[in-house]
Amino acid sequence: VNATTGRLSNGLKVIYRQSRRWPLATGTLLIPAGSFHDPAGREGLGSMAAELLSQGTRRDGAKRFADKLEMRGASVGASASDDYSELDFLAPENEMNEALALAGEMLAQPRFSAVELEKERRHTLASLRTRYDTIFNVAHDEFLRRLYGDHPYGRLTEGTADGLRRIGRRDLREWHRSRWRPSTAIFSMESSVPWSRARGILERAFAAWSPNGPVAAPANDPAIANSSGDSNVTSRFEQAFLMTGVLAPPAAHPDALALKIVNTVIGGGMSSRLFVELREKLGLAYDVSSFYPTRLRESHWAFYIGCSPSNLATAERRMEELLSEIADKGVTPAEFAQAKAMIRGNFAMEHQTGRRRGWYLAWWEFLGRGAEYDEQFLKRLGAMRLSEANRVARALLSKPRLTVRVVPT
Amino acid sequence: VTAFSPLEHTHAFQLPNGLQVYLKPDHRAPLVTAQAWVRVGSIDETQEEAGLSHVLEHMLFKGTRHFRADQISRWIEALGGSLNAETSREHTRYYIDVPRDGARQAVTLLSELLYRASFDAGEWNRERPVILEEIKRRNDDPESQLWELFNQTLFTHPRLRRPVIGYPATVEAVTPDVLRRFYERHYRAERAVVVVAGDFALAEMRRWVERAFRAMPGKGPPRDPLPQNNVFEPSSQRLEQPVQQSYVAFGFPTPPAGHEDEEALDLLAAVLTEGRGARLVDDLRETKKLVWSVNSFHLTHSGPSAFGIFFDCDADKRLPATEALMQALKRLRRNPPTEREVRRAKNLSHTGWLQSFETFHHQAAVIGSFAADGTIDRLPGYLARLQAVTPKRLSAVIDTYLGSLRLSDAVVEAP
Repeated sequence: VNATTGRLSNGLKVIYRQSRRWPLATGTLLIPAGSFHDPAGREGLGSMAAELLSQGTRRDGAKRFADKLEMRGASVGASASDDYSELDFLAPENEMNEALALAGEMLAQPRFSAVELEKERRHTLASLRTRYDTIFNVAHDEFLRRLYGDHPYGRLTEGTADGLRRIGRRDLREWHRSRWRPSTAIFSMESSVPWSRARGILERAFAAWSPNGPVAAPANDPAIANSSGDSNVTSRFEQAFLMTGVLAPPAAHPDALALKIVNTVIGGGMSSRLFVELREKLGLAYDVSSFYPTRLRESHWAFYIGCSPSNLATAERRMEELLSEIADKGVTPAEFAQAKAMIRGNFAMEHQTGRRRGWYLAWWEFLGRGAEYDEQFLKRLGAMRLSEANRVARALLSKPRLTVRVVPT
Repeated sequence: VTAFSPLEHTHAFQLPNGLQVYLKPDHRAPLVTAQAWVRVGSIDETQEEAGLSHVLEHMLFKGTRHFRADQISRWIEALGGSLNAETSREHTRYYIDVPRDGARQAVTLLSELLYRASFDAGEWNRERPVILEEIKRRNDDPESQLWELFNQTLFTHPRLRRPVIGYPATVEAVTPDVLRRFYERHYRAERAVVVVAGDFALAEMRRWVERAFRAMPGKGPPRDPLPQNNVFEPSSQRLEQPVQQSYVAFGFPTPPAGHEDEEALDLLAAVLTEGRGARLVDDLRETKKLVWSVNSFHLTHSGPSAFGIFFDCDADKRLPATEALMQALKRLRRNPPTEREVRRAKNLSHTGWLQSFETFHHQAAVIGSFAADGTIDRLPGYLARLQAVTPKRLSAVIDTYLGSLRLSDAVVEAP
């Protein structure tokens, strides 16, 4: 991996890679402050806090702060997902020091101004409505809501309308103080400067980020509904949409890699089972695929197709047959080998940019595997056996699934 | 500003059949991208043929002389690669991204697609409903609909107005014979550009490309030129859909790629909407709180091009937001962008340009796009020309294009 790992005096773990590949400095900070951790009644707090982090500091209002970054051609922004918040850093090399100092200022002293909070609240509330201008979202949101019930994974990272309305500045400040702690964060960075110099630059940039007071208590894992059965939703769209799936192993589970391979066989690319059977042979759909997102806790594995309402029953039947066929007979050695090659190829593509390379190192560290796992990943992938993959596929595909259908009114 | 040239180490040559080739060896990652641009798109279709270029793009993956339909994607994906294509008004682009060991296969397959497609009738019967489904899917997407309307408001000539994807009736009517004739007419070496970028040995790659493409038919019938004096008459289009917000577009046509105003117009888009401090973002979104987002772009082609300003907002904010936009554009003439605004836009554009060039795929896409537009000579100096645009020059360009505020507009919103 060729990266150096160190800890700054404020406790922030840094993974640093010196690279002269490109005249940009890039970085990713991951911190366990995702929507999973949102307090009850404040659903959306994690996401709101991340969005507002770049909207001004104690010294500068949002406009002035953005101007300082933008005049340097730099950008620093944060966002939340289910399990973590992420801060992305990008700057031309000659502006790196100043831009890092601004990132540090933002992490240490965000303003969370009332004006920006109201603006962001209105935006987020509007986005909760407008996402239903896309049929995929209608199916996906219903799928997660049913599958997870009251578990945080069952709702959007952006939160709920009720939760968003209740969020105040005090909530934001407390969230930031107790959850955005350098000691729980990982910052992975790449630039042309040697580590011996970068270390000092980072120490100075992040020195003021050292909050006091107790760290947030670990969130407890609420029960997952794990519903199966059917849910039909009516909509305004010309197309119909089907999404069906089950709960699936979390990212650190020993079966996760095997499932990633099987998922690629079933829904990855243009020679996947779903694509070939439902699109190429039967001409039922343009959009047909599957997904198995990476989650720290119980994830999900789902298959979907968007098609004409008149083809929905056929599509569903054929998808059923295809999945039971895989449960019975497993995937073939050729499919298995191809899926591994596709994952390997995709891994190489993803590692082309400094930002993504850095993200992977931070992610492996976040997952508790250490940055060096970036090299082991491909070895593990190569060593995975077909029988393992088929065992995992069989176990999951024989479970009762949850099926959501979106049909025109 | 860091020295960086998009054509660094790029070897350009032409095959005897007229195919333009750009090879860019780069060993920073063990990957190769092979891309082909064919100068054919919806502008080359008649009303009855609407959507044919796009149908063709689908059908090239459905079998060639040496590959059955099911072998094409499998061949590339088994190497760990991926492939796809896209059709626009003027071009059709095919791209294959592979780990370096698959470089030769990628080039071979690309050549098969470009001149050895087989157009099997059974395959077309299976693919037709897929494309009809793609049309439905677009009809369900307000942003796609807005894009179609926007193009209709900018241009009067039917060849520029028609949707690239065509209409259900014209797609239904396509036969393998129609496809073959269209293919033989337009897929000619002299109408195509091949770009390969990534981890390969130059001499070897050159041999592979020559071998793969030397038998491609060269000269074909001339491409129908677009009407030159496309007189702009601003117009409005409004489509009612049960959507949750209003989707709005304003814009005006601009000269073809390579025009002396190109970089200034690119810069204008950055001044208006790139970043939190950009004029329209600050005014419409942050200060007046009328829109959820606002974007602008200058999109060039070898034919008529376009400058667009798109925003989305609550339905009841559409009129005030439109009024605020018009005021902001008027102010742009009274208070043209300052030296500081211009510098900010340049710096952001520079970083964005550098960042996008980190991947071989994007490098090849940009080289191919400039080459297909016939403006490759302008690519190396692009960033320098953008940096050289002065506030005074930008202000003059604003006067020229926005002086009379003659803009077309398109709206998708709830009844």
